Amino acid sequence: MSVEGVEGAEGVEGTAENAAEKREGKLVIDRYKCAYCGACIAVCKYDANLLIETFVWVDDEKCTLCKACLRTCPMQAIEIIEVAEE
Amino acid sequence: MDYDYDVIVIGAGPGGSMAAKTAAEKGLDVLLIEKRQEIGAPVRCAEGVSREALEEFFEIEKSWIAKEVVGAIIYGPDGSSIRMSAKMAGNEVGFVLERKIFDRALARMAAKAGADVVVKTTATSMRRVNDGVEVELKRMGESFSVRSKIVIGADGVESRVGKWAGIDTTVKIGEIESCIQYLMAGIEFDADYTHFWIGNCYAPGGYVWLFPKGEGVANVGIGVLPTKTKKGPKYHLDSFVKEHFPEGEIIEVVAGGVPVSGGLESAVADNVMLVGDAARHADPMTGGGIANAIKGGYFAAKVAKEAVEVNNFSKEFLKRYDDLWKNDFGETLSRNKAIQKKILKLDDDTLSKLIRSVSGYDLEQISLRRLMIELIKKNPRILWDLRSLFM
Ligand SMILES: Cc1cc2nc3c(=O)[nH]c(=O)nc-3n(C[C@H](O)[C@H](O)[C@H](O)COP(=O)(O)OP(=O)(O)OC[C@H]3O[C@@H](n4cnc5c(N)ncnc54)[C@H](O)[C@@H]3O)c2cc1C
Ligand code: SF4
Ligand code: SF4
Repeated sequence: MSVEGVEGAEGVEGTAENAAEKREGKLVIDRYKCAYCGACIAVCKYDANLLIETFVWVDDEKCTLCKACLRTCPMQAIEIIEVAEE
Repeated sequence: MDYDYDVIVIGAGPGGSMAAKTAAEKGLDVLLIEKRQEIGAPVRCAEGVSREALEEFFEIEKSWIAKEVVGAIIYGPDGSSIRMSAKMAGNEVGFVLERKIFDRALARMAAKAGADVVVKTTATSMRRVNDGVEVELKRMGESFSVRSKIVIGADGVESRVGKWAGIDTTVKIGEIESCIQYLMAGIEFDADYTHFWIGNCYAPGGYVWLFPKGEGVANVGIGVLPTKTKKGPKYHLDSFVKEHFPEGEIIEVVAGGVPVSGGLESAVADNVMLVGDAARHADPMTGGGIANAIKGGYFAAKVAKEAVEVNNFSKEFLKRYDDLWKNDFGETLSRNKAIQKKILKLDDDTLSKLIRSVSGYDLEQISLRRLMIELIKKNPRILWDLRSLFM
């Protein structure tokens, strides 16, 4: 019952393609859903997020939108929203 | 260089408090820092721990324990079950703690032993200065730095300390259990046992647990692997609860991630040792991490004392800590990682078959090892590759 194309232990997200998509969205945390558990921090290999007590802070400059945190979040509190071109 | 402390411990969970307590008892100058305003809350745990794990280090206080159980019942996908005594079931079965009380009691012991304890204080970065380390701290709007010879990173699943020291602690998403738990009241179950449901039908890549906290009250939770389901743990737990405990009320929600990678290759760098979840020391099969965090904290403090005595804080010297944890629970971590990998490959019919094959055994008397040997003997085709671990 594994998700298509994803093998258990190899599940590291974050490829060059993802990085190239960088400007196309922004990671946001729904504060009504977030339980400040820290799981999203453990899986971010770009050091792009921090749990400051009850607040998850995301560094947009570092975030590659790789979705590792989004897929790990127990509360499904993480979303990528579109941002308008400047 | 002038040092403010011999050891700074970052994080006051069970791992950090144990490290601070032990180091202070050995006569070191210790600072224990915790970013939360309240130690122990919010809880990120199902609170199960064995009697042995606590007895090894503490005089157990009644107030820490919500409920004592006699064993564990494991249910397979087809409803067949096995029953084990607490003694045989391992590190997570015996007591169901009240971690809000337990974690605070441990921090208090560290303080009593002489450690300085500060809360609502976050470590924000760290750098090496000469032979020591300087840790930047933020406390209620005020920033300051503190110097020490050694830093013990006990900063849990969200650990940063390892990365600051150049240890890659990133957990792959196929190696972290995404967990939700409800504290439920008004439900019916056998409160003398902890209960586990395994199989993809319940929890893809993980399991559902019920840990009693009293009559009619229990931690009912789930862990799933993000690579095995797109729906998230809440969906799966809600389905389970709807079927099994529709009458219950949810009086607390807990979320968390448990690293099940089976431990870092090495948990040390120059001046730095990692303990507990920061070192990814939770058991890959059960997800339990309290016992190993406490032990790791003890070992790290022991090595810190030796390092201070000879004034050597190099990675080479601190590898003594790696040796200690590897020779103790490291073997179980690797073994259980192998079992977990195997279980992940089994479909629900096979899991049911395995459970049925030993359903008749008197598991009150049999050890986990003996049980695995019986399982392998009865199901050689399925489990043959595990035999070298047990036979
Ligand atoms: C849902 C769930 C159920 C679980 N059930 C069980 C169970 O039944 N039995 C069991 O044995 N284990 C269980 N575990 C695992 C267990 O909770 C952990 O393994 C255990 O708490 C690890 O202890 P620790 O001291 O390493 O880390 P934690 O207890 O996580 O403590 C880390 C502390 O460090 C602090 N911190 C982090 N960063 C900083 C910083 N920069 N500055 C200052 N402080 C910081 C945090 O606020 C936190 O208080 C469960 C986990 C989850 C998520
Ligand atoms: S994993 Fe989800 S719930 Fe947990 S801290 Fe991150 S955003 Fe919040
Ligand atoms: S999407 Fe999440 S895990 Fe990936 S880089 Fe951004 S913050 Fe990190």
